[in-house]
Amino acid sequence: MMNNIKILLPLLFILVTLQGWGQGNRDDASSIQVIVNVQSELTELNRKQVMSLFLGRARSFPNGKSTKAFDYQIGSQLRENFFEWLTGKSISDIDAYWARLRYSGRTSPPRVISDLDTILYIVSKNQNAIAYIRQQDPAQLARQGIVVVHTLKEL
Amino acid sequence: MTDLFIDRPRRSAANELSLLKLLVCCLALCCQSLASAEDSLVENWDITGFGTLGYAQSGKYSDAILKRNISQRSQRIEDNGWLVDSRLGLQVSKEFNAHWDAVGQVVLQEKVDNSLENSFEMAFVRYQSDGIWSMRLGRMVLDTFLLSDYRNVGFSYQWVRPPPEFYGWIPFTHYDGIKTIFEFGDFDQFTRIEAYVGKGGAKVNIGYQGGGTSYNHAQASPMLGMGVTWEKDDLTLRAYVTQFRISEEIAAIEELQGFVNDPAVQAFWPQASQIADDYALKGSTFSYHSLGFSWRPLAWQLQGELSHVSSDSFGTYGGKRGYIHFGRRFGKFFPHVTYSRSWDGRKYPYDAAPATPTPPLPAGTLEALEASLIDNRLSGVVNQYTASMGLRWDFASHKALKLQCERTKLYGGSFGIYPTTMAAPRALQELTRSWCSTTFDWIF
Repeated sequence: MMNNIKILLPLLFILVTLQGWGQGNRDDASSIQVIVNVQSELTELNRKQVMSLFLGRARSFPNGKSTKAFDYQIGSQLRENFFEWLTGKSISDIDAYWARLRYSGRTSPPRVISDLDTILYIVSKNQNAIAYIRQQDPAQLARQGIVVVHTLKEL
Repeated sequence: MTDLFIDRPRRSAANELSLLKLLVCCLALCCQSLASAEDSLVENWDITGFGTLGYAQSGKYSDAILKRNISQRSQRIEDNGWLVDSRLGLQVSKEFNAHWDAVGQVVLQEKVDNSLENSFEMAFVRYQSDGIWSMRLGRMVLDTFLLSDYRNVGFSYQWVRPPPEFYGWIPFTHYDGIKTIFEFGDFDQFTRIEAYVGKGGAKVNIGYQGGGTSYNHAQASPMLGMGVTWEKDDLTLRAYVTQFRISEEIAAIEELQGFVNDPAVQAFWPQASQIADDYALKGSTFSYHSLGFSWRPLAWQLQGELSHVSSDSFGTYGGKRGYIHFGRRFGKFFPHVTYSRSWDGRKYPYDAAPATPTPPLPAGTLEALEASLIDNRLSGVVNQYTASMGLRWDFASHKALKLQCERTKLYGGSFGIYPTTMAAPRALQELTRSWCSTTFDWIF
């Protein structure tokens, strides 16, 4: 009986630990980072500021520097998660919102970039750029001249 | 502006070329910037578009025809329900540099004037300063009301069509001119102040009769307007004032004036001349005042608008309009209800015509003239309400199916939007009619 318990306890410990790691990994995967170039001199943006910048209501960062947002392609899961977590609205409502702005001639949606590497390259080279990515190591991003200014998690 | 007031071709070659001239001026203005642009003029244009394929029960009744707006030909859509809401839009845009960009938009849809020139809803260049100010020059959509500047883009709203009492009677959709905009905010709230001046034209079919003699062409110059939009979180408030002056008389009014100024008519009914002058459009001023709000917290949507339309011409539109719209999203579905109302209680204010003296006039001349004046007055009346229920289904990315059913009550002689096949003088009793419509909307 005791032998069984001795075997079961470590197994249980391992299972719980793995479960915790798994949960932790899922948390990381379900987080989205809003990133800018280090030369933008920004360290943090709040949710309202991020919303304004990605919904075309603001053309400059809080420090007054002009900005340009970048987005992913229509149908991208990351794009859907980002806007739904950011605004609490369906991606259909966000697409309808951008249709109103685009086809009334007021402003254009963020420029679409198809892959992560290009997003990282653009943000690392452009002090006006703002974009979003799946959770990445901030230290590694910093080495590319990129700063995480906001982190979104699933609502 | 009715069946009686027939039109004749009056567009000069100079008018046909006005848009082209404007575009040339616009391009000349920004040519310096174009020269310094990184890429050439013809490269890297964004080409996007929108479309709607719909079917409406426009010909369901023999005495009232469902119309999207007064620019549509009544008899054409009566026999082709798929033309009421179907349309295709193509938009091109290009950002030359951080300050200059250009936008062009063509919308193909059922309307009296289907010329390419009239199908351009937008063709402007824009200068965006480093600060809060921007300016547009060229052709722009007339955005007097909340939905005015995107009412052709079915994907962008929940309805099959915007409330007809509020949007169906507006003759002008675009203007050629200049617009300046100031936008400022602090991330917590956003304010946009805009003002424009320009000129515009519209060809409409109010009433049932078709053909060239039943289409009225209105020209407005100047058109002036200014508005304020304020946004905070999920709330948008908007106030707008537009004023325009009709710069040319329509041929039908000229014919009416010629008839009532006949010495024989003048001799026995001198007031007829005054009535014709009151119907005159040339030189008359129109004012639109509007207030709107939109509140969209999470999955909910509540939206409404109020407007007041006034003019110093008696024979055209006036009164108050409003609507309230409520809905909620459930996943990919968005059910909604709307109530829209237009009030126009203006009465025919003139004394009755005297009995026709025979001779010298043919029997019934003055009575027939008076009957026509009274009857045609109804074509400028929108006194009705519509209650509608609808469902939008976003079944795929950038694609939606919509179904909407509405019940409309037309109070005595409200023929300003929905025409009737009744012969003049048309009956004044109330009508209640129901229609259903469906659309497939997409953007690309």
